[in-house]
Amino acid sequence: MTKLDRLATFATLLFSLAAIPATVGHATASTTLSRSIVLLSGDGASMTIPSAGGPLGLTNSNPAAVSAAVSGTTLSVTALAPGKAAIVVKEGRKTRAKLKVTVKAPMTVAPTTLAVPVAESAQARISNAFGPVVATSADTAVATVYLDGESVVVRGRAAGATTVTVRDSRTTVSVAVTVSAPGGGSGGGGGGTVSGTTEGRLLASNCFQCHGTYGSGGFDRISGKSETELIEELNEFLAGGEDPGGIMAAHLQGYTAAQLQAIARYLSHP
Amino acid sequence: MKRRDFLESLAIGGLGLLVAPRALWAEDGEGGSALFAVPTNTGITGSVVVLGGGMAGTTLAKYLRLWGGTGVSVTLVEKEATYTSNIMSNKVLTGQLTLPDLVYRYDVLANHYGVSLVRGEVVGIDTGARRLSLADGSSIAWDRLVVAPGLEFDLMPGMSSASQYDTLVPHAWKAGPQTQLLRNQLLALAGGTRTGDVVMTIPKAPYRCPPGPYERACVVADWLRRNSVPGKLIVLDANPDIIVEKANFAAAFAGGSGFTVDYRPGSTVTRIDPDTRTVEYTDATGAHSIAAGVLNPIPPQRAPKLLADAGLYDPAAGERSAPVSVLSYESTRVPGVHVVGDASSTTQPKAGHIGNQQGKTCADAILRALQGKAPDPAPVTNSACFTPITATTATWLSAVYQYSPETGKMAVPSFHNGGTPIAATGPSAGNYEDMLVWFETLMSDTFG
Ligand SMILES: Cc1cc2nc3c(=O)[nH]c(=O)nc-3n(C[C@H](O)[C@H](O)[C@H](O)COP(=O)(O)OP(=O)(O)OC[C@H]3O[C@@H](n4cnc5c(N)ncnc54)[C@H](O)[C@@H]3O)c2cc1C
Ligand code: HEC
Repeated sequence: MTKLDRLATFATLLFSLAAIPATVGHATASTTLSRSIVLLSGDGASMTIPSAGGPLGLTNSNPAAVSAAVSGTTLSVTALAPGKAAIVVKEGRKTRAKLKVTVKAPMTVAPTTLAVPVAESAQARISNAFGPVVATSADTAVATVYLDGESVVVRGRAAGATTVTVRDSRTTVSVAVTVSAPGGGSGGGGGGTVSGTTEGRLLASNCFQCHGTYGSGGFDRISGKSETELIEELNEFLAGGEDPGGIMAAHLQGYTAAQLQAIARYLSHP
Repeated sequence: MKRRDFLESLAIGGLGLLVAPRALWAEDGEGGSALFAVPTNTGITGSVVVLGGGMAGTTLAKYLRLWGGTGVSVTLVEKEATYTSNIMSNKVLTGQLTLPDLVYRYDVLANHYGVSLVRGEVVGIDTGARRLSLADGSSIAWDRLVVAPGLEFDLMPGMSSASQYDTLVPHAWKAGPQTQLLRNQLLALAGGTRTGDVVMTIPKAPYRCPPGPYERACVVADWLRRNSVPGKLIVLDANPDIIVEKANFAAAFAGGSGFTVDYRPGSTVTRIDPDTRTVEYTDATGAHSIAAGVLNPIPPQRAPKLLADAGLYDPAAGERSAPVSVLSYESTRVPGVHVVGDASSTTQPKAGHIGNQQGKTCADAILRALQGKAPDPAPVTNSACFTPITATTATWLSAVYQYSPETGKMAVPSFHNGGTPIAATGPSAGNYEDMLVWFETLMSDTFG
């Protein structure tokens, strides 16, 4: 088998696993299948429940978000509205499967108009992206674009107007971009200018093990707050006013004030 | 169709369905993190091969794509189809989790982040020809290689083969079948088909996860007590004292959490007999021998021999893991080859949380190198170990490491508790809840 063949086989295997959650894991009648899936409204998914042949019953913690039904040994779910639902399938008193369904809203981008001077950058925030996101500029002579974390960063190249298209696997959003001549203006304002560099990123990634990639969750979401608000919260921990003796306060002991400032600046627009 | 196209169409077309690997069923919906886009035009191009998809290698592969964009192609070579987390695996011994709960998949890495996966065991690293040879006879060329294979285990004195760990005296210091075997042996003790004490041995530091053996001692002793299993837990520690979180572990060993542990520091194992489960050891008072009901030797550990053969470390000079520059995790012996995680030799603990951060630091340095830039001159890493003490309580240990230009090493700075890690004030149920959120979030920053 050549390396390429092997890669292809592996990819096919992944495909079937990703598409049919039923085959995920090595469930036998003695184990409980625990799975999490993310769906967009309207999506459906199904999985086979390991059972010893008895009748299966289910509970659904959030019928408004997800509808669920079991037929034979197949559990089918349909995503109805954004939210989370826990589906538990039981055979008699034995729990056979637990499925955590997160129904996401479609991707949004805000703001959808940006004004940026030549040689500077402006950014719009992407929320609820589903699958890989691609951003393209209709006229790269006027503005170029790249993705950094949850932001689409637009850099002005020459005065003019163009459209930036942001697309995930389901949704396409257009952002109208106006690039003004260089030199004037106070900077700030509008969509907020960003350096477009990686300043503070590696430092801030120390927070991701506990607050999720790009500060997106975990104990608390910490991205997207203003730099001032974040610094205030961090100082509160350092002063012993917030969860004294907790791991967050302990963790912050290890940074210099300048490092915390760089982290807060980065996290305000990751 | 090129392979890359295929993978991308998978993620975009697919069935619009992504299965996120999650080990724990979080009732409250806390923990975890979101999926992020791989940027399309950062201007960085290059290709990187990663050996080993564990805590360090998987994080590195993900962040190379997330930060480097689609111009950076990443190939991950991993011998197993799925990853089984060592973290939390002591809870398999007490029946609170099962091994399948700790399984993580590479789906998101491949389908979402576009990392090319090669399933295979690397058997040779040819640093001259810049090729990895795989067990099936194939080979993979690299421009830049990152080695993240974790650790291998020495034979304890008296043992004749590593297979004795698989059948008689499990070390279970890598989660997998040995973890289940050790669980079964403990159940045999509870069921009366085995009798005697449980004896655990701890090697001299540095070893993987400094608090891990003490954590295991606590949760197993707690389980023995709760289930009224005859026999006690004896710990033979080669170190002169508890090496981390001494106050918390010493209090627990002495009965502070309801169980006790017979802790014997400064104990050097001289011989074990896997068949009779007899362990011989010496301490300050002389030579001793115990016939155990269950024998759990945690052996000394070293980077895989593969790395020594490639010149990444020198066993003849007494080295057990690969020296690196902690600015970039590039080997100080072989340029263009980086080593992250447990297999690297640094002043940081060998642990998964910090292995994740080493992966990010190395990814950042490689992306800079691809642009002709020097690594970040002042990297910071952090370690967090949440440690269950009983079935419902836990403690934690936290440390931040800063680069010291004077020594060229990572060190806990003096302004951080006088240069030492900080521990929880004691075991608590709140810490236990936090432990579950931390674990889910760490694993989703790595595999999700
Ligand atoms: C009981 C226990 C509890 C622990 N608790 C904690 C904790 O609370 N917190 C914490 O931070 N850490 C903890 N750890 C430590 C942590 O698990 C390790 O430090 C961490 O997994 C190291 O990451 P790594 O990437 O270096 O190696 P690993 O995670 O071991 O990954 C190495 C990968 O490389 C692959 N591989 C190896 N050789 C080859 C080859 N030749 N070819 C192809 N693939 C190969 C392996 O299959 C594996 O997937 C614990 C460890 C144990 C044993
Ligand atoms: C070892 C885990 C851990 C790490 C690493 C960590 N945090 Fe936290 N963080 C926590 C916990 C736990 C809390 C909740 C504390 C509480 O509310 O009592 C928290 C809370 C916070 C909060 C308050 C959020 C809110 O909405 O109240 C902020 C801000 C924060 N962390 C910032 C950071 C930053 C910045 C970093 C990186 C420099 C970081 N954290 C790294 C564990 C961690």
